[in-house]
Amino acid sequence: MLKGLMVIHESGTPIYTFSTDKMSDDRKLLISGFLSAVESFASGTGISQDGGSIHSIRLSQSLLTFRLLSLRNEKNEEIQYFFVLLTDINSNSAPDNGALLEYVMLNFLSYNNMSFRKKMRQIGYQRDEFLEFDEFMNRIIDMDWKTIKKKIKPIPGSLLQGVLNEIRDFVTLDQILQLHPRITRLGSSYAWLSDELSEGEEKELLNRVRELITRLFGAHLYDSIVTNVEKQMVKALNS
Amino acid sequence: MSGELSKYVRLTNAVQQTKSSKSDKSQKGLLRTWWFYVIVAVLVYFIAFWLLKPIGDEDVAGIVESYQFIGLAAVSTLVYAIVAHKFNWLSTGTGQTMMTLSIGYALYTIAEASYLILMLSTPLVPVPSIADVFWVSAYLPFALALVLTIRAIRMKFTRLMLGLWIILSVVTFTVVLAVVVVPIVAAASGPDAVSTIFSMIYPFEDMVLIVLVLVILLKFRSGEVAKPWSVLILGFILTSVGDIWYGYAVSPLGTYSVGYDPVDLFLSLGYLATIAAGLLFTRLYSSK
Repeated sequence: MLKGLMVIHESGTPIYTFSTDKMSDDRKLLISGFLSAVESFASGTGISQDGGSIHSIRLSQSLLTFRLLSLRNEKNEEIQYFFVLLTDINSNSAPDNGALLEYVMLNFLSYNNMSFRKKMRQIGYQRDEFLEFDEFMNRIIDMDWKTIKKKIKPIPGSLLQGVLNEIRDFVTLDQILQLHPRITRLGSSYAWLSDELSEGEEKELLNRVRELITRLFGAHLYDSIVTNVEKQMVKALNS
Repeated sequence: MSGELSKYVRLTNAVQQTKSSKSDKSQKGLLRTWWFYVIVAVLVYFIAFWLLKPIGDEDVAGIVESYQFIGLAAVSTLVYAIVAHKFNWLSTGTGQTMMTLSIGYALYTIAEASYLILMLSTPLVPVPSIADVFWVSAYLPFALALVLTIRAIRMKFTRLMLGLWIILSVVTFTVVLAVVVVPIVAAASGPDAVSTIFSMIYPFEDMVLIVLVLVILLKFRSGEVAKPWSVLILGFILTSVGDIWYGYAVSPLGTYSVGYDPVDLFLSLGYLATIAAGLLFTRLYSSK
């Protein structure tokens, strides 16, 4: 069972906290500082298996699952955020937690027409600016992973991101990453643009996606993907 | 930074255009893969095995064939699991398809192993046996895998392609029905009725798979992915020929023998085509 979510800036400051238990601000800060220190320690000392970030920590009956997100801020400097998902071990199997967290991350970044992603790239933002994500967390808190996947579809914040989400069903993540140096992994499941692209670059990237999909699957699949993403975006706007 | 990126994108675009303009690239690439030669070598070995009959004792030859079938089914399982792994297992559409195909071939592996055990422990393997339960049930994941793929493709058939698919499906259905009904009618009142009817389930299941793969193949006909799907459909057709022949050989002809039966050659070639298709998928989805 899902118990909470924390999004922590690389400095250790929590930018978003959701928990089924009530937590004071001091406690949130203490926990996020601790988690950020553990993550930094693991990646800094090379303790984690892949030399990257730590994946999970088991604490008694709870499991903390970590994912690292790299973005570029307005000054084009790399900034990192740790996403930490807290789940109950007894009712949620460990292998699904990574996928669940990546799914929540994707929704977080796409939330409210990608406004969160824009805020996260800004140098000065208020912590309260992400509180509206509670609405999403409250919707999924009692659902299992299968139900979440079935009932909640990530709303694409842009045509490009929507297309990147959709082509995962047809090409591998490695093939998607090769399309552009600024496409990064969002965990093991999703591809994500690490920062904003100019309109021209975005168009050029969409053309590359079209070329890849057309080469592999023929003429019409790309158009059907785009149509589907556009439908999703219109549906999101209307709701 | 933006200028460097544009340069990178232009450069990689140019590289890709050069690559795609060389029409013979894929053929050359295939000849450079080690597994292509392994597939050809195994193909030559199978044909030589059935033509030259190197093992004198047919029962021993039958056991050797059985081990070969286990190996082929196990390799098929592994190859499709590798493709599923490339797609992060069940988290993507193609991952689900490939994993479900892999589960189907895992059931085939269990079926082949069960058949070998029965061969070694009983003088005559009954039809149906426990092995048939696994073989028949494997068609469920196979069909599911294909339905998953069809569902993921949201593009509609053009009228022409829909017409072609209907014609090909009707032809497949008619051929299978025509050749399958004959032995069933012939054996209907005889002692082999149950085994004949049971052995004829396979061609019907093969037919369903062929019709489903045709949908995928016709929709993706102009893409590179059509190649592995074509080879996979060839595998299903070879298996179907083997299954139909098996139905005849069991009854009414009663010619089926444990060693060197042509039925087993077709089934082996069916497996080989399946493996080749899986390897073509891994090559297609390679990031290099």
